[in-house]
Amino acid sequence: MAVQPPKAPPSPPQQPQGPTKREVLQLVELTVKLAKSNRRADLVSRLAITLRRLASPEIRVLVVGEYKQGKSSLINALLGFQVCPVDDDVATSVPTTVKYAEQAVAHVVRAPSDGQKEQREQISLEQVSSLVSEAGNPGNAQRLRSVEVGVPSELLKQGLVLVDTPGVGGIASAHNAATMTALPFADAAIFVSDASQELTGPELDFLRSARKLTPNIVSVLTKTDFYPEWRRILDIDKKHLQNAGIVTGIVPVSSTLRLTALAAKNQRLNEESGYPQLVALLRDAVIARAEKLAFRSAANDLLGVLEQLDEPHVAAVKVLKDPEQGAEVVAELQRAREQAEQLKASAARWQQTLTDGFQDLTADIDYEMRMRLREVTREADESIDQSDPTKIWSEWQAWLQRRVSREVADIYMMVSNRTQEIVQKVAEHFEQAQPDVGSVPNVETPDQILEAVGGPTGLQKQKIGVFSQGLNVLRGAQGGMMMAGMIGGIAGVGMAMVNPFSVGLSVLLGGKTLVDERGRRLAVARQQAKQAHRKYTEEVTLQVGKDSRDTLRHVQREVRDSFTGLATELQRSVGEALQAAQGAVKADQQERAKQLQGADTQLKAIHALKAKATALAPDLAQGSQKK
Amino acid sequence: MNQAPLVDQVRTLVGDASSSATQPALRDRLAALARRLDEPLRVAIAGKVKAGKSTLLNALVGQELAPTDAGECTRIVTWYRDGVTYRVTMFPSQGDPQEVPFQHDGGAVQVDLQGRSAGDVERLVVDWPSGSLKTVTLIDTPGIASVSVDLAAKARSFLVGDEEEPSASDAVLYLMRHLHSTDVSFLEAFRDQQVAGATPINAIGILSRADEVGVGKLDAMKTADRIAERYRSHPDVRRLCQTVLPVAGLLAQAGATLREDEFGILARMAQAAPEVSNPLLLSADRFVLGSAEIDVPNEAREKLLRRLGLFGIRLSVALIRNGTVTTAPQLASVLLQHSGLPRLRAVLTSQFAARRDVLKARAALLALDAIVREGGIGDAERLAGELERIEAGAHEFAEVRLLNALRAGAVALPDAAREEAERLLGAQGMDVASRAGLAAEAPQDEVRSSLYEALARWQARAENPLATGDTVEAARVVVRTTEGLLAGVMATPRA
Repeated sequence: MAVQPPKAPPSPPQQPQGPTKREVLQLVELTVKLAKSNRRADLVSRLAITLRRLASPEIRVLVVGEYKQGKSSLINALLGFQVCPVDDDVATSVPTTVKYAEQAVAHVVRAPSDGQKEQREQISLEQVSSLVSEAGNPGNAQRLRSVEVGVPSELLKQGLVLVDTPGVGGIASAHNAATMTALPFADAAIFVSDASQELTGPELDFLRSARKLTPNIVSVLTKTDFYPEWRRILDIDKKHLQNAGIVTGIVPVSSTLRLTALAAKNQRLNEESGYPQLVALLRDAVIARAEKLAFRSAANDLLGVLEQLDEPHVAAVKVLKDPEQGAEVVAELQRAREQAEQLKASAARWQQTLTDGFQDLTADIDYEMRMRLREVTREADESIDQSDPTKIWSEWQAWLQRRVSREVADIYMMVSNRTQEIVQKVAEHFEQAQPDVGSVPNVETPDQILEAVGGPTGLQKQKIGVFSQGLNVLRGAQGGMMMAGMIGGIAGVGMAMVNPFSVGLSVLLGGKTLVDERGRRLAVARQQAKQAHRKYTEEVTLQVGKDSRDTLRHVQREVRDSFTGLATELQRSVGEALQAAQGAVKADQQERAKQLQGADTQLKAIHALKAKATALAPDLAQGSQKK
Repeated sequence: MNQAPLVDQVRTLVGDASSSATQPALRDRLAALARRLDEPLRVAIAGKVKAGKSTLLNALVGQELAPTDAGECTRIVTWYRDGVTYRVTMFPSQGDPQEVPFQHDGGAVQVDLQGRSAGDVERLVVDWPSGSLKTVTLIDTPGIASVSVDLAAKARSFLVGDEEEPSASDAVLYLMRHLHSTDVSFLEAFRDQQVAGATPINAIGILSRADEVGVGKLDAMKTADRIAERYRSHPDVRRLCQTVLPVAGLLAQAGATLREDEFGILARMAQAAPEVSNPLLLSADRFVLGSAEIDVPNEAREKLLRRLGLFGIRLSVALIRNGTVTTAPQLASVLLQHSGLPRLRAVLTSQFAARRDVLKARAALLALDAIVREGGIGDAERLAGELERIEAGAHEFAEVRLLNALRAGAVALPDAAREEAERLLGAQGMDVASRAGLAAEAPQDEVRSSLYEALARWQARAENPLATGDTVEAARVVVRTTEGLLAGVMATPRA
């Protein structure tokens, strides 16, 4: 067998093409300046949000896999910091989030005890291992929800956030469902499996479902230093993935070699560890992709703002160039202003769509949840009738929690998907009702302006702007749900939902007495078991129902405010365009020439910025043509 | 109360059934049942894919018989039993069993399936003259959480038994690398049978591949002990098996079969300067790649790595380097000690073998019960009555039942009392001294007085008016057991 150290990646320097973050930030700042000089404080504040998002992005990557596959070691080796506790027995019991910080720092988030708020507490990095591990915190007696660690790692500097999750398996609790529900909110996942054996059935099942929830899965084969046959396992695993129709490469790594290499500053050993390859993959497939998305979203915002800055000047130029048409342009703009006013009114069609959509959704979710949990109750009754609940109680509890978690996860997925649909529809209706200023007929624009634009213009762009605005609102809303404190033990994973496991602990404590009184007759035990699980599902229904209603209400409000804000901006832009046009009509010959020159300069600046913003996301223009 | 031994009672009953059976097919089945009573204990080795089942089997036999491989390997349920000649019999799913050719040259037994696919073969029986197989027949099974659903189902149906046929094994070593939920549900299935109720006493959990626990750290076995201890005390696990032991199959296999030339390579590595040998021990790849300073052919290194694993190699080099061992036999013995296999052997002898007759009688009764229910036997009613009488009357079964109930936590006793009851019932070993809670060489007087004290305690418990029905029932069984033990001690002359 020919032994070769893992191939080194095609080494950087990479990223010669494509804009850098600094360029994008500069572009946004220039636009802010322009908006300020046009005295549009409303647009300036919109851009402030864009700036903030760009400056501190979050690229969430979940590290997932069965027990003891080396997930925590992987994070430590990847970053070169002892962040996650590594124990030869069960280590991670609480999800740990690792992000960039100038100086190493750690916080724990405790679950609220009765009636109190979630507690956040700073701890030292050394304390993390004792708190996160099963040994230091048996059965999560400390009631920790999550641990947040910040370390000065270069890899994390671009906004990468790694989340170490407890193993998918587990002796009594299944973290599986919890991990599943966290996946849709992650930008990518690293799936970890060690070289001791090929992928198992449950692992492949997990991958199959995970693939549907997150588009970006990086598969890693760990412990290649310890298992001589790792190449064969790698080949077998590749085949398994192929057969299962899962498209992802597998990166073989050794955390031990990596840590030794980093300690000894041994370049060759580092390459042997396979980590440079993994880092390159994360840079290319995860960070670069997320950055591209972030730039795209920034480009959307910029184009939307620039379009609005553009309008008054375009209107002025039209009139100044051809005073004959002045009255027509003014009339057109007056109509547009009316339209813009209507957009703001609560009777506007998009408002109706929004209200109806969320009402329907709330009802549907409620119905769906009742139906699903009723089915669970039926199944639970059946299994209780077929067995002695006192004997199987703890496994049965775990089963019930898993089963309910799966349904709840589905419900949350449904909330998320349907909300996106509604927002999209609202965006469409909003777009259709927008004042159509772009269609003012027979107006020539100065040649130089056309040249500078270099791409399709017009309000059509606004549509994408609106849509992405809607999605951003949604993302923000998910953050909002998180803040609502309704999350179970997995807040750190970024999941916005009630966690049936956390409900279970309080409600199913009744199970304890059940176990203690084994002497009772079977029928009594069954009766008790049935009551216990009914109480449990009822509690879950109640909490999830409340949480989803709150969430939907919150999202609805956010969407409405956001679109209303947009309508106000539009109204103001149209108003200013009208004023400019009216001013131009009144001006005399000399004044006109002066105004034309001023507007021309402004337009040149705007269109130069537009061209740059379009270049940031060329596909945006195509996307808008498609619609 | 002078009753014939339990096995004999069962054997008689099986004979009765056979003589009143109407069809020859039924008689054959009953004859097989009777034979089974005289056969060695059947121990199945079960567990998830790649848990190290075949490696453990080889270590227990002390020879490389079962094929081991990095990929999923055992695809057919295979029996290894003592025989007069070397022979492999194939039992196809359809058709008659037939003898098939095989190869065995130093490595594992390679069986020629005569063109059949593994899916068409129900099981293979390997007859192998071997001292280790005299007292126990070992059964290798395909992994449970197998990627191939067929294989997994095969393992399950074998271990759990079909609806009408009870499980074919008397006891199970359940290998687990780390406890997953699928493991627990599997064990549940195993004990889902009625005669003696739940039976954690015929299963032992093995924390297998224990050498891999620390991914190569030298204190791996200590950590494995700690993990096993945690499993042992977990109520879910307690309920399902007697105990959990860590075993490093690869070390055990190496310890049983270490050769001089292998020791030679290890010794040379240990004698080389640390700057030379340490980088080689850093990773499996590097070990195979070798270095110019230690001149050993690639194949030899590769083979050694496969046989000992990186952990075994690191451990051996460390042991030779610090002078703990100086010869091949010394190293072999230390590796074997490290592997945990001797402890497993001890538990097998003290618990399974000593209780073997009870276990076998129990399995036979279970099978007989199924046959009687099926019909086709003349005086089924009388047999059923007889069956019930034996089942209810045998104090051994009462002990087994109580032991199970105690392990399941179904009897409310204080921890100390529960431990004592389990010990008296033979959970720590079936010999009198262990049951009295004393060392094996304890003087008889001491054993006797200890048993007397225990008897007094349990009699008091049995007569406690405040005790619940369960506790009284349990205490009565323990009292009777202790009385029996005392009678035994009295009968033997003083040393």
